[in-house]
Amino acid sequence: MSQPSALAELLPYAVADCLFTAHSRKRLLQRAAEIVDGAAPASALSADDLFDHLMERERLGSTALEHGVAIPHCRVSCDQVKLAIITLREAIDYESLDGAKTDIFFVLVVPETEKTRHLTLLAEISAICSDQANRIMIRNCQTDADLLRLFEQLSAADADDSKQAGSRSV
Amino acid sequence: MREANRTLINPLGLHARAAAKLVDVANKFASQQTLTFKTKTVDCKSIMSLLLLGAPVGSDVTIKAEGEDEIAAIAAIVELIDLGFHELEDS
Repeated sequence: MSQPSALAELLPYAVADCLFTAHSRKRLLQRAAEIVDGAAPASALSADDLFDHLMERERLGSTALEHGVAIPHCRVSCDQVKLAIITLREAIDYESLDGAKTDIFFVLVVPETEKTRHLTLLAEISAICSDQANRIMIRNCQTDADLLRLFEQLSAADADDSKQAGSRSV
Repeated sequence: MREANRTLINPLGLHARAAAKLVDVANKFASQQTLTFKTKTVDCKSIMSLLLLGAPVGSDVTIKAEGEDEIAAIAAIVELIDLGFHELEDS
């Protein structure tokens, strides 16, 4: 199967907010809900509903990973996965497992019925963000468009890597 | 070195919350612990590495532990996986 990566498929519909200023988890998640809702205004969920769902998930345990990266997410009744990429001007405390402050956020809104695609997305995001050089490039982005363009490049490179790893000979 | 093979039984597989629970358990032990799925082997103490596996329900995984408390470490991880990361009742 020669198909684009799950992340690459999602990027044309993704939204970004580069170098946003938020001093708290609450403000960050409010902004996330706003831009996800703004990208899909036809959705049955309001920005307030999305914010509540995202906060509820954080209360179960922080979605911070490591190296300043977090993946706030929630499951709602919607048709397709929605992605917002947000970077912060100044990192905030997000209760990460490694104690590092967090400034790179991948916000995922996932349909309730969806079982495996989010795992593929998380795997691709983790693969990209495990690489320190990639994290530096993400932090160097200055505009929303830069951020989305960078991820188009990184997701394509990531897909090439997995092909080389032996899933398919071209 | 201790080793065990298991199958993931929770419907969402090794998603973010499950991976965080695995890191919590792994961090209780001094031993080095790894999880292998398909061709990838990762450190059980790194959530980003665990998510990188993208392991869904039904995945056959291998757990390895090496160190002074390897027996207890393997037992604790096997228990967490066999209990479906404590999420069988609510998913």
